[in-house]
Amino acid sequence: MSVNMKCYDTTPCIRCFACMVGCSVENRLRLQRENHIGIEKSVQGRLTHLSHLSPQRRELGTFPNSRQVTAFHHCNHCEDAPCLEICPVDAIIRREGKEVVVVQDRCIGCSSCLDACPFDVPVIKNGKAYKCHGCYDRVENGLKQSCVNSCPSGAMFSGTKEEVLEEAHKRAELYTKKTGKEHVVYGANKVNGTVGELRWITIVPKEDLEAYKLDTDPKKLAMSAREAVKVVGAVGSVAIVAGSIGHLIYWLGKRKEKISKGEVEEK
Amino acid sequence: MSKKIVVYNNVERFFHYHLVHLVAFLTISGLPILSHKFDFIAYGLGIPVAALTNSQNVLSAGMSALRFIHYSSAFLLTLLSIPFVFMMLRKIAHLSMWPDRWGVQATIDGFKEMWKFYIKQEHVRFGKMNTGQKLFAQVVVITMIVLTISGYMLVFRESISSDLATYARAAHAISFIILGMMLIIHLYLAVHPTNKNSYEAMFHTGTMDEEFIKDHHGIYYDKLKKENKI
Amino acid sequence: MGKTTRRDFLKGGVATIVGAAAGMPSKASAKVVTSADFGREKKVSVLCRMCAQKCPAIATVLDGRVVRLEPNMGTPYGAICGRAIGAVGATYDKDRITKPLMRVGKRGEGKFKEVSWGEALDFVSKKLKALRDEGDAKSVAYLPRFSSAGGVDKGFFHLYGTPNVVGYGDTCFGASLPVSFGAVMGGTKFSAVSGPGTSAVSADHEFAKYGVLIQRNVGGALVCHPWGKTFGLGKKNGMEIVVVDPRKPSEAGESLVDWAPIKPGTDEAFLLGLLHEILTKNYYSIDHLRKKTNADMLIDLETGLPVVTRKIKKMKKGKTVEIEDYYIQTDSGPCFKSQNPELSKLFGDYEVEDELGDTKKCKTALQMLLDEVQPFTPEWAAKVTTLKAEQIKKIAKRLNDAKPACFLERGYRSERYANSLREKLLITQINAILGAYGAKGGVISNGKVKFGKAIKAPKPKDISIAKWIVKHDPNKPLLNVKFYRRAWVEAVLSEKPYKQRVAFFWGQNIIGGSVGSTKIAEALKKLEMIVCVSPYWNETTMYADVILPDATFLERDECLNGKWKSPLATLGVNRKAVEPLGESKDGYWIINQLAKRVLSDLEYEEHFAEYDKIGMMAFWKKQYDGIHGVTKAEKASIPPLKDILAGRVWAGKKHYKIKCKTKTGKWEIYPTELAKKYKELKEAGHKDAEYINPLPTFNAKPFILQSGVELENDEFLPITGFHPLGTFTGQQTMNNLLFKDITEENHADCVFINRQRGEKLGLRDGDKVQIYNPKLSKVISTTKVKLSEVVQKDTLFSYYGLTAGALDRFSENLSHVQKGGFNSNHLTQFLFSPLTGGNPAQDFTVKVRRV
Repeated sequence: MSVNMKCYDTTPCIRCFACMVGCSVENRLRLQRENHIGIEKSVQGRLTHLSHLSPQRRELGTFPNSRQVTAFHHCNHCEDAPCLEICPVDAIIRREGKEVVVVQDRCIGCSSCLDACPFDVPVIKNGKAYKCHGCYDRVENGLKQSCVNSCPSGAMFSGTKEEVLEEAHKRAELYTKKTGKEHVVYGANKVNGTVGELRWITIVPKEDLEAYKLDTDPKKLAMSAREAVKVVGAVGSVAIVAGSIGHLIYWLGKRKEKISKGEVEEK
Repeated sequence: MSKKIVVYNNVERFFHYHLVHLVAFLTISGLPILSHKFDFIAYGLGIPVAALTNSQNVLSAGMSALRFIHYSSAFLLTLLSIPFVFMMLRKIAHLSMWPDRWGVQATIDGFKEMWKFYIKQEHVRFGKMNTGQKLFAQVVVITMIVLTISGYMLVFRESISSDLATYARAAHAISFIILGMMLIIHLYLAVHPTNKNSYEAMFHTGTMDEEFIKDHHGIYYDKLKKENKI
Repeated sequence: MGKTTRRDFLKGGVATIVGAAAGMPSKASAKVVTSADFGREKKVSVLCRMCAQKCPAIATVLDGRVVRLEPNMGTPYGAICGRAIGAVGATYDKDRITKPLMRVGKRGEGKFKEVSWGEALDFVSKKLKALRDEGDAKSVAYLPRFSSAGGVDKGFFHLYGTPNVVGYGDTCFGASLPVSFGAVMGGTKFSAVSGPGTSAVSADHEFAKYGVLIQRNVGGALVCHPWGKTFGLGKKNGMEIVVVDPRKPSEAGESLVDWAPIKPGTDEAFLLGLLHEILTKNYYSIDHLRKKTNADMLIDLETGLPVVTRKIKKMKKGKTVEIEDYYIQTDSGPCFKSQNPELSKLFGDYEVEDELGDTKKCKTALQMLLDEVQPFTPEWAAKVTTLKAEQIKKIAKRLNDAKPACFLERGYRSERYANSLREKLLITQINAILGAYGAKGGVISNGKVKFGKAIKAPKPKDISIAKWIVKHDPNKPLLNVKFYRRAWVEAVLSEKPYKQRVAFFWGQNIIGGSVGSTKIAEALKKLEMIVCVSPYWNETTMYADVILPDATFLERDECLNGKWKSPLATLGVNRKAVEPLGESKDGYWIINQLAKRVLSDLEYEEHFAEYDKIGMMAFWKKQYDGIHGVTKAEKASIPPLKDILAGRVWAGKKHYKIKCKTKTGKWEIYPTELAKKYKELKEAGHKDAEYINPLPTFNAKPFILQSGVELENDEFLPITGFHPLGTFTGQQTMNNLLFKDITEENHADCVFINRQRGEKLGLRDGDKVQIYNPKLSKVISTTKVKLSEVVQKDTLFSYYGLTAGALDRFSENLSHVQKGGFNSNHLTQFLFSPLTGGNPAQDFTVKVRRV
């Protein structure tokens, strides 16, 4: 089965938030289907942890050379997902289509995934971690992801990796030609060693990567330091144990020598 | 018959004895979170726990149990530390972990003395604690403080920003690793035949012979003399 | 077949310690959901009513609940917006009114008791019947807005005998928009072409090269089907956009979208500057002007009317039509256009003999426009609008480069300033000059499917208030006789032409949604009975004597619908997905119950008995059998009624054309009918005549520019815009938890002012402030202010309808709406735009102070 890929195109996006509301509603449908909590009950609550897509809007520049940019906060379903790597209880798995999914029943809410994620995606609520699961249940049954299904303007599209990359590059080329500004497909190529390629890619003007908070070198400094120290600790501990054993052997031998030479008394 | 000098009082010995147990629990319960290579610990506890609770998720059951042990041990350690820390703070000016002689050269000399004793097996003059022991004590104090503060931050991580919590987690792990490596050395030397008297003092008697002190901890002997404790 | 659950899935076995020690994570197989799970869900075709656009959608029903809305892809432009997707939050809102209520206590206090339907209907019917028997049916006004009995409700009230079916559109699209568009493109007596206001045309975003978004933002706003979709398609095809807006909206795009940060209320000046560039730099095609427009028409300088005209017959699409021929100038002297269409002069001053033999000084229409536009240079416009002249010039040039695949958005909620009509007129003229109308990538006429009438009511014998006003009120000679809810309020207060005694509101929030909220509330107190049909609380429901809860769109069938703002004629229907909650009832049931009680047996038998017997099919059959308004080929392709009712949406073909119904058959960039009216008003000495001067002028300003006085330090010009998840003054979005995370992140409950101006006032981001109209200082809004870089310096921006505002008593009934907030309507005086009786929603100033 091919890799499932999603693409967000910033150009036709009309910032209508249909994708985000769609995600929230679809997860309430899942609550009803699986946990028998009727949607008429679940819409009485915010259930923010079930809204896996959120906007992060900010203003750039000073009037009148100013604008508003809404960064799209969502799981990237990284090729080398750090959350999957770190989860102490193996509660994060990869589906056939390569969606990165939290298996709720195994999760103990330790927040390791949140610590490891360079995009700060997982939301911990009531002792469980929540994040976008790529609507794998829909996809594996021939439907599109809820966000893709909801988008009215063609800004969200998905399919196999090959299909999506082809379309994304085609669009980026067209925009580059029409606007004279280079457009790139963020996540199509390996972003960095921490995350690899992404399975949720974004078409964006290159000069706007930072504005949309698309990190070209995503990492968590604290966690990278921790990893480095872990390596030092592993090597160091082994060395210290070996050194101790070596010292003991040497010391016993030396002591024997000293006793036989009469320099010390045997005790 | 040589006079017996008290080198570790009741509070110190009580604290140290329980510290050993609690640090062991904390270490064992914390290692699986630090690295997947220690998952076997979680499985070891998880299999019986999962069987008892009718759960299919062995690793999760084990981890949850370990988390309980870790939090409980940490809390007990905090309680345990309170009288000990108070006592230490009262005599903070006279703690053995301060250098006998300050300065870079003095420190180098101190390590040289240790080499003389532990490698060349020659006679040397140590204080109550040698340079290595003083360094170890200082590292323990710092790492335990960081582990405690970062640990409680992590227990209540929902009340702080996630960025801060991540820094706390990294600090917790890094402090543990530093402490852990030093602990291996400490454990080795604690059970080493040449340090049998110290072991006896810490775990059983609390005392050392005056003659022994004069012989092996000359700088300490001089200090005791000066303070009219001998 | 057993139902699979997410819990059933872990099949991963228990790993041994050995295996685990080797570092192998145990494999957890995840949920196995089969298509059977999806197959259990029922799909129902609906037409979303979270706003008024009725975008076709599919509702999914599972275990008796609507669990999902998604776009109906049965049309080429299938799309729904975020509000539609959150509709389940509105239908399952526990603060919904689901039982009939009757007032206890004083009107306006908002205290009610629950009653049975019988009691409520009897109470209402008793009064209606009494008035009818008195012969005073005309004292009952029916004011629909979000009606759930479309196709039948208006007919019922006409049957009842009142001529006063009062449309709400004078506060939105129904006042200046039809007059201005009709002036250039013709229509029925100053009403627009294929229907009033916004439904007439659509910009062809999909193929446009360049567009000017002015007065309205296509993205994120309403009309997702099809404008949201076509806008997205256009952007995908590389369409370039400039947004002329005091606030830079995100919805047009956040990268590479030009912004013209215009001072509120000065759109007319911007458009004049644009027109100046276009005319002086010849940004037009002479051939186009000659062929399609009346640019070459000879205008008598004395009268402002065509100097010589005559009626001739012409063949148009196999039919004979009568058009008005007019004098043009050629090298060999003046003649009629029909005699020499190819060689007319487009410019020049001439002297011509009229029918009476008098010599008249004339100019061509184009010459007149060119001469009159001279003072309005881009530099002049820049001063008035606070824009840069260079930008105005650049926009004009880009339009020229792109024409005819270019457009100026016509604007949606057009009633904002006293001179809205002039703004709309200029937009229409400019689109016409550029040749955008009917062109691919330009602006084209919308399609519509017309039906047979579900209720054929005889015309009431009394004159409607609107028709009386047009004849007798010198301030409103151009009032739209279909849309006049505020003029109706004035009639309630003045009792002219006759007393109003009952108001029957259906899904209408007249107080919160119109200019002059406090005055309107005062007027309502005069009535003998007020009925509100509504599932949702709002300011107006607080004044009801009886509240009848109708069901939401997901809970009811409706009549067939054929009206969308789409270039494709479209046919669809809203079907019931789930049973109405509580005791709410669908609108047709309500009308039927009223009809039973109020009409005579004969009348009931003729119009409603069949519905009583067989339900909605009684209406559907009548509608379907009378389908018209589409081409023969299209009509043949319309599926059978049962398919439509089963959920099939039909869409016709896209026609690149524009309906032009002027007498001359030309696009009148010099609007002759308007010129006639202008002359009439001028000769009568009417003080507001300049508001319909057919030539480009700047003598008929918005109220805020009339005094010429600068704004004070703490004074701002208020503007509003829809949040993509907000509609009108609606509980359906205001109280909807599905939207709160997003609207909070966007600070949609705050007002926004320019950061520099705010800091000068000593304000900080997030401060609590009081806002009031210096001319109406007894009403004070308390809200929070955000200091923003994307707001022009004179502007105070707020999202419309997401907070309660100053008149916030109704919010006590809503769990998720706080008191306070800002609804600009609450702060307005009860004023009218000149001539049209329009709704100057933003034409006032406000002052801001920190609390």
